[in-house]
Amino acid sequence: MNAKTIAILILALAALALAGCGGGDEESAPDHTDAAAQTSLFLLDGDWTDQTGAVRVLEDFRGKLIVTAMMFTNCSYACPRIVADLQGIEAAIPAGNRDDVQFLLVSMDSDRDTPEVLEAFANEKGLDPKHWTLLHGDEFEVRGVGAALGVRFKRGIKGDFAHSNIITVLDREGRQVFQLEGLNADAAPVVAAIRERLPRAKSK
Amino acid sequence: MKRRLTLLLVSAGLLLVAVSCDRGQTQVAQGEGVSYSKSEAGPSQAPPPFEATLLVAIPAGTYRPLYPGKDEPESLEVTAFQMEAHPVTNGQFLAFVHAESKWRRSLVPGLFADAGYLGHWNSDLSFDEAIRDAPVTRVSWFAARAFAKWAGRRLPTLAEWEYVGAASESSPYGRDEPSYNQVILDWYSLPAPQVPLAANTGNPNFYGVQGLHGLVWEWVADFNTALVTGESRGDSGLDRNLFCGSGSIGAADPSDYAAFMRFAFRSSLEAAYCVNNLGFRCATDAEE
Amino acid sequence: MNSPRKTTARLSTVALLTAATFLGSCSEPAPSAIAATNGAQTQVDPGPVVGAELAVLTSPPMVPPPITRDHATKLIVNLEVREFIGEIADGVEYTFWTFGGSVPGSFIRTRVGDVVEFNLSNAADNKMPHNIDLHAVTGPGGGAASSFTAPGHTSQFSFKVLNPGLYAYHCATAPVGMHIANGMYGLILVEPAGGLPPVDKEYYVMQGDFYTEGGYGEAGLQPFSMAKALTEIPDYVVFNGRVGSLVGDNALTAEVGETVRMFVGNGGPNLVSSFHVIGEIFDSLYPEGGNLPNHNVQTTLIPSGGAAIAEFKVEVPGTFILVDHSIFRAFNKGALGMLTVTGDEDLVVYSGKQDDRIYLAEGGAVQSMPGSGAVSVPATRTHDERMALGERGYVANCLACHQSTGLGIPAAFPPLAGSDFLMADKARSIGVVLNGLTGAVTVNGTKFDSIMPMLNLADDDVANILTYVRNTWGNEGEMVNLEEVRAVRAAK
Repeated sequence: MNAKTIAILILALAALALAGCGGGDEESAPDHTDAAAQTSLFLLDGDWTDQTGAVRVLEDFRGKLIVTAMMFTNCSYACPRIVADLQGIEAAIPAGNRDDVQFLLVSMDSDRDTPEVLEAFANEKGLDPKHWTLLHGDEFEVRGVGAALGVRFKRGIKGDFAHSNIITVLDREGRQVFQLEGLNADAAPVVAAIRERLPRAKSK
Repeated sequence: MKRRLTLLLVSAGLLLVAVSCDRGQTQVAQGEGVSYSKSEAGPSQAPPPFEATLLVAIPAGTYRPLYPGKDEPESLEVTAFQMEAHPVTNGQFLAFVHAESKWRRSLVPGLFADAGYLGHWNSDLSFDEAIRDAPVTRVSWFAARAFAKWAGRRLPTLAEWEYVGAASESSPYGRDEPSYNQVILDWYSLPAPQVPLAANTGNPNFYGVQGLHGLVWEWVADFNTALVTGESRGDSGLDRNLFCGSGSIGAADPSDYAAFMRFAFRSSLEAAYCVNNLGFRCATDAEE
Repeated sequence: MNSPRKTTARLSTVALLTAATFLGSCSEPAPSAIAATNGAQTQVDPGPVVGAELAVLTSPPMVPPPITRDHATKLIVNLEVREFIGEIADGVEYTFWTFGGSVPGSFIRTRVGDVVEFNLSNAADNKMPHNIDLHAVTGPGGGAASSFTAPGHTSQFSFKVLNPGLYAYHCATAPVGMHIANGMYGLILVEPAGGLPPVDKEYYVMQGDFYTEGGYGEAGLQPFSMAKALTEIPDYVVFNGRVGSLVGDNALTAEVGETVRMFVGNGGPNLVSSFHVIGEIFDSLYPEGGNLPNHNVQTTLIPSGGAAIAEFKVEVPGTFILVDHSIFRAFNKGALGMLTVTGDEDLVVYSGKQDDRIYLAEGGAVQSMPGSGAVSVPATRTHDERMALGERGYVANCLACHQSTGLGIPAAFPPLAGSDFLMADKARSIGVVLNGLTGAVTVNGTKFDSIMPMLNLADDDVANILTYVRNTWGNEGEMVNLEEVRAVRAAK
């Protein structure tokens, strides 16, 4: 657990502790009490389009554990690896729990990764649409998600992106609970972070 | 030569516009984003007037990045756009939070701003009158771009900001002038003044834009790309699992200390950070 | 598997400069068995980490107390970066960027095997982001990437100190040179498992070079000069962040018979120091902060970004001058400090002056080559001119003995203020200045028996100085002119 996460948790606890203390008067209330605790990615309320062409908001995924990463389909190296890493994570989830976990791929390439392109990519990689959603958004929304997840990316002159490779786990309320950085990193902690939030294995 | 002459003429025209701006003729922003939410502004408080900052037309040109990406040319084209003549002020930001209550400091979610957000204000909707016209600081990147969207504008890109910021008062390429960097360094080496300067302090630069250097740091739309290495696909021979370590980057101009400091500053930020000396200004695409 | 740290996604700018960047888990050092493989350096197994404690940090020239615990611990270091305007010399201000509010930054003392939890805070009003590269760290960037911190924020990272020694630390944020040039460096000591041998006094001294828009001594707030830094021609070379930081009342102190240990660093950013203590020999010297001592060393090179430990016993009292023996730096740019040793004389070790014979061949305080003074001197000067020039001449030639008050020093140097001996005979006073004076004289009823050397002064200078002396501190006499001096010289 990193320092920032700890700080957020402390803030959250503090906020809970203060929640009952009134504070309805916004002119005099201590700042950042319950508001500061709001770190859910669902606060990003922009519209997205998924690989089926349906309009989505992040809030739609509330209630499931979310495993997410940013990528672009023209990426020949890092992104396929990230997807492969995510598939490895999926495989490590007990079969009985798979409906409980949503995989979310957010494209950073607003220009080229249309819903059609994303669908073709999903099919090519064999991503089960039941558990995998690929999102296309405009640049404003994509930057917002990148900033919230701490994923840095930069469009190069040829339209390809340099980017950091980060897999993020969100809890059922959209709050970040774990991040794994780098390719080919041991995914075991990601799996552990997911499993500890799953109901007792619905093992078959 | 011809292009340079054109730039000079454009600049002269802009200076005229800037002068008229000082007489109080400011252009009100167009666009659907400008609206006041009467129900959320509080019953007893009338929304303060909002005057959008004058936009200065910036002609197209080339920007020489401090860190060109691998396989990228040394100069990148910047298309024509418009940039606000000075940073957004506390007064302007007050109009925004009046209208958009979720950006008031007691209500802003932690995802979007850290605990320092608008910490220099007295409350959600008030501050010392002395800072009304000073650049608003302690605003997060999320808040800055939300303001810009509300005003029907956007944040400038890093390339746009650096392109305009490269100008001195007399030239679009001020960093070739010995005094240009020194003036910036002198400011960087001074602690922030106790009483903040007004947002329109300082001489307009070549384009007629004020305060890019010498007032506050400024957010840009893509602040968090500054330190990403070159395109991963182009890298080879190194351990590609360590994408980050595989790019080879070298600064285009190692002596451009001022640019180094800006890049260092931006790269130290996260999008929710609210920093004492960090504000922003808006931009728009060029008018058709 | 260590848990990944989100903060590492933020790239260090030192990485930028060195074209090596660290993202994500790629910056994780392999945590296992490093200590074992480094046995040659650590010599003694530092043992397991027990407990936790808050590090004592000190400002120069003080050093935290020796570590007495016999085990490694988790050592918590809280260090705040502060940017502020301070004095680099009397009347000369400079904007310092500091670790802990001092130049050099706070001294950090650890023991080998310690796990250091480092919390680097960047004060909210600071303008710059900062980080820290500790040379005691084994890991990418020395902690630079992990400690990169925006104003108003705190970064935390941890490292295990594997190698004993004295290490420099510094800021590594772009532009690195400027951050260091503004004072962002300090020392971290990693004691070996058994500790360092006990000594009587420990001090912290660190040299740095500074580059200002104005030249040496130019008053007012002086901005950093990039041009001078790039050409590596500093205006100031100082110990502990300012001219005179270790002089006079601020001098280091020791008593005769004590052993002094100096932790000496060099922050640079550019110069290499030829560190020397005038009148002492380093009994033991740990060059470059390592653990093999050298002995009987006069002067040691301390590289920029390096350090040395110097130990010596002080046998005799007196003032021992610390210098960078690239000596113009010491006397013209500020690299001069003092160690004042008090106690009983040991005349065998050092006799003091045993005799003073006048050696006329060269003369006294002002040395000039014959013929070099071919400067035309106006035959006549006004009283005001002679007073002004005379004061300058007095300060340069006479003040050391007769003092700025003209009161002299009792039993050694007679007073000039209100002096009957001086004022009674103008020609005699000219003669004394021209020729010196040997033998007993009585001044204001007190007998002085010492030697005033002959001062090799031009006649015009003599006239000026005597005009000044005879018309200052309440003295009232007429002007001394050139003809009078020439007459006395001719009559000799």
